[in-house]
Amino acid sequence: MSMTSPESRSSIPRVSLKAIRDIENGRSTKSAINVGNVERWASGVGGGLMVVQGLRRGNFSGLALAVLGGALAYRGFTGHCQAYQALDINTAGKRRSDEEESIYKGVLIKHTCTINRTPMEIYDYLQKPENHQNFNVRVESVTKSADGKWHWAIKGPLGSTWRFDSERITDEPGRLIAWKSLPGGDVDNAGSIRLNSAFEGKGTEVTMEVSYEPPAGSVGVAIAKMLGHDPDAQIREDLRRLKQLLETGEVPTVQGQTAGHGRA
Amino acid sequence: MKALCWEGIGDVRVETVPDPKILNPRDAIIRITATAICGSDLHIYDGYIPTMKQGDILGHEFMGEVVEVGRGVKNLKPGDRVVVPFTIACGHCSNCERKETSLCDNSNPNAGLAENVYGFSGSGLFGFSHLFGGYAGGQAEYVRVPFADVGPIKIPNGIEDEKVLFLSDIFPTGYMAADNCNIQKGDVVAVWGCGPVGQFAIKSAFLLGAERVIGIDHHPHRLAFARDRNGAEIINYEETDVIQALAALTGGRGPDACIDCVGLESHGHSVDALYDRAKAMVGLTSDRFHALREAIYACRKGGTVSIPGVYGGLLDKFPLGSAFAKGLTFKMGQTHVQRYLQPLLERIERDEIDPSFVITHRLKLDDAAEGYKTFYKQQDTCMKVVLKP
Repeated sequence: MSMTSPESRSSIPRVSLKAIRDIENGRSTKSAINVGNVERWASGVGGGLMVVQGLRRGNFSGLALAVLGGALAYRGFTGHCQAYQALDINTAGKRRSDEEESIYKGVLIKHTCTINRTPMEIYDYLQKPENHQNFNVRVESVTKSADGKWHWAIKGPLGSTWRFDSERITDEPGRLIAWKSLPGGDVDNAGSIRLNSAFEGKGTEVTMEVSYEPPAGSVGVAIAKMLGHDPDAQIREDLRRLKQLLETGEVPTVQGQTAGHGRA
Repeated sequence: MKALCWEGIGDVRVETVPDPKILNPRDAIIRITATAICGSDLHIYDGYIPTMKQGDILGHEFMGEVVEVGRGVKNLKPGDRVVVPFTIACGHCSNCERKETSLCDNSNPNAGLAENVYGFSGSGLFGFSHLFGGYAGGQAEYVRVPFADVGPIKIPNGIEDEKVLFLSDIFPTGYMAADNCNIQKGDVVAVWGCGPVGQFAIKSAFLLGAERVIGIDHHPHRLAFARDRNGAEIINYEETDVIQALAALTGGRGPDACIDCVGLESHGHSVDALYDRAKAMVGLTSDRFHALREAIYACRKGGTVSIPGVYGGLLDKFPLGSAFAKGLTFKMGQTHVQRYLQPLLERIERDEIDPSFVITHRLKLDDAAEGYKTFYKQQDTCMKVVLKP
């Protein structure tokens, strides 16, 4: 199903973004996966840990560990093992259909809070690209071009920068915003922000849903978490900062405050 | 500047630290003129409050003079005298609009941590662990006050510091504890714990129309204080069975309202109190609450149990069956200080109460560590320590 067909315009794509991109790029979604899922996880997480530990050591044996870990992590990311290929071994078993796999691999995050503002006030705030940097601390830059496309640069793990463009696929003032990333970006993602008036005088219920295809699938998510990059907590905190900014005009902080012995 | 820093369990020191600075538009910097040590600071001193970090500046009862304001603060200017509520509140979330300022949605920078522990986060608090925001406290020469445009109350010249200092916490805390009891004419109110909050609860219960107030403690000086200064009848739990005594004093009905001003480090020598203490020693329970159990058993049918004493974790052997059988109402939580500032300042101005009655010790900020030790070790004679920079 094409995401741009008229009957599906208002529905928000959930997780099969990789499939969308692959279809749009006209290439096959099949890949040479010959490593089973449990084994991929073990390789990816174990390899990731070895890279981190190896780099922390900072000597030759550390480097060797990091290289070995890198190979293992690659095996986990891609599900492809050169050694298995050479030996004609396949532990991946029967493959699910592409659609099932993309649902399995994609990450969907959903958080809700109530903001003591009207739906239109919240919508108007979200219309300005520069405001997104205030509540999403991972945004390095965001601009909107005349053709309606948004251009993002966001912080990824280990000091990397992920770039992608996105477009609004739904834009109902005061009710619903939905977007998806365009092909060719570093991270496939889609999401929506729904605005529902709570009972009179009780503000607006804001529901933020973000789904994304992490660069290395579910293994990539685990490694990102190991490196302190937890998208679920980040989106929860994004929503909290949006509420704080809209209700109080600032984000409360103790960063940079004074403290005693050894901490100041 | 000088500030009292927490360095570990039972270890607080006055150190020289950098001066605070404005971090957000709605901040103000206050030069402290008077600050006090609270009973809940002793919970930190004693290691009962988790998420403390070495070097944290303590103190949540303070007042002083505005020296600098952020660009978002229009109602204060340098030179204003203010008392600062210990609960930090944004003034604009739905809880603040209901005047439930200790439930502010927006003032705890570590709200995610508190949500993991409690399901939701209350407001940020000064000098009261990182679970409640990690804000530097006011036992110092200067302090940064967030949301200064909605928290602090201006104090007219002519009222001395010691009369208004306790608007920051213990006077509103004792007052809200009594206010939560829905006191009717003729009511009898029992108060567990005759420390400073207990004394204010006793005084406030009378101000709100209670016929009789009964104070319960084991420190003879504190009991005498409750009787002689605040007009309470008294029960020493080391000499008398509290439940029987309360029944005898109320014609067998039990008090109409019971206030627990003790909180999570309750003493006592009964079987349940010793059981709590033993479990706390081996880390099986975080809160000892003998006083609260007694309050629940003693309260009359249909009465109210009001809890201003601080609790932080899980309770074991909580007599919910008794509470259910008697149809009790429970009211609790941190104080909505901002709600009470103006009406209580007016009561002070009308001479209905002089809150300085609780002060027993006056020290220099430099001697704050000594003040903690004295307050901790001599709770009988040391009621309230005020520090002056």
